Amino acid sequence: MAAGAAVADRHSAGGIDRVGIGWRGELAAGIFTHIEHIDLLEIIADDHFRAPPRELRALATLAAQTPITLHGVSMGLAGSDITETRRMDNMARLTDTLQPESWSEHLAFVRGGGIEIGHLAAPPRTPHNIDAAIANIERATRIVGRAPLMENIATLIDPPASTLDEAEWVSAIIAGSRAGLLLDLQNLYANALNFGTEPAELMLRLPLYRVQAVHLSGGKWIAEPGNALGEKPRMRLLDDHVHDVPAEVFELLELLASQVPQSLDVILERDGAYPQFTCLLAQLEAARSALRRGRGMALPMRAVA
Amino acid sequence: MSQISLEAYLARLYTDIDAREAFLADPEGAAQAAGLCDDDTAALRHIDQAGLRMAADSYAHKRTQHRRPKQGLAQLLRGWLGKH
Repeated sequence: MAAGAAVADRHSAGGIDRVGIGWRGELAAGIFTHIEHIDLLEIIADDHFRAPPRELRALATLAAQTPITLHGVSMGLAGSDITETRRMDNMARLTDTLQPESWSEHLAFVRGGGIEIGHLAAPPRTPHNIDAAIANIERATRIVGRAPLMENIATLIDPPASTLDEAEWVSAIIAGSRAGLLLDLQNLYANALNFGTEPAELMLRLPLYRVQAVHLSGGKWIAEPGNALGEKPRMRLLDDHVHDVPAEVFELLELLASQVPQSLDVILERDGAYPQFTCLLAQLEAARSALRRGRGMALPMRAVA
Repeated sequence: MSQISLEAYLARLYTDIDAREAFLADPEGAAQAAGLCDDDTAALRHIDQAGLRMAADSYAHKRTQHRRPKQGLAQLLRGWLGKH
């Protein structure tokens, strides 16, 4: 049997891909009501580092009923400076308490020189930065007790002083660490369009055999500053998590599912402008459909090492 | 050390509008004044200026969002159970 056909059989028979949603307080009622349609929940770890015992007990109860994964947003593991140990200790304590199936962070720097940027920023992509990021990830792995999944981020600025492109940089960090890849397909889609790459081509250059989880979300087009009157405005795609997942991102998920043999945990992220929960359920079902289509195609495993 | 200094400078450009406008008016002079090495100064001469402004605006928006208080799960569970 061809490798691709084996992949298709395994997935169509076992249905081992899972589809879930990011936990947000605003979505709590919808999540509780429709929990049978949600395979797993992703919880923002940083929201709970200082949680009182009562809150942690509630989270532990949730984790006992539904698989959870913890998602960190403030370590800055892809910064060139050393990530403070206390930030890793926070994640270690929460993973000890909640026993999530996995934990994740971002391929980003979030501070520098004592200044908090307040969000995820793309560092200059250089060999020096790769070494620093690998060192940070390996230390986090030791302190937390297991390796993270590392997520590619969206950026509106082409990171200055870079000597490597995004695929080269991500691949080198993943290859040099024990981390899995959390592939955010909207981030990949936005970066590809903003900086002149074909999205599928960019995705196929990543180490897809290390992808364990996927993020889906939506964004909107915003105008570049300085557009001249009378000219067609130049636009960039902002990953804002307040719009529905576009069809092109589901197509990337389908392509990914056709390329890899491993099961995937797919998480829908929504951070605002919350629609009726049925709209979010429809996007979860669209993700399942894309996975099924991709597993059905099961192209030869170009991405498998 | 050079890259750590560069990331620190970028963090300032992303968060400090005065520093950012001074930089955009004279990238090379501002980078030199910040003590960056020649290679980094040269690289910043060709910075994606539109992207710098857009990224900075986006980060400012995110910082505002982060200041909003979040409801705890225990409270949400109690509220939901109370209605069902």
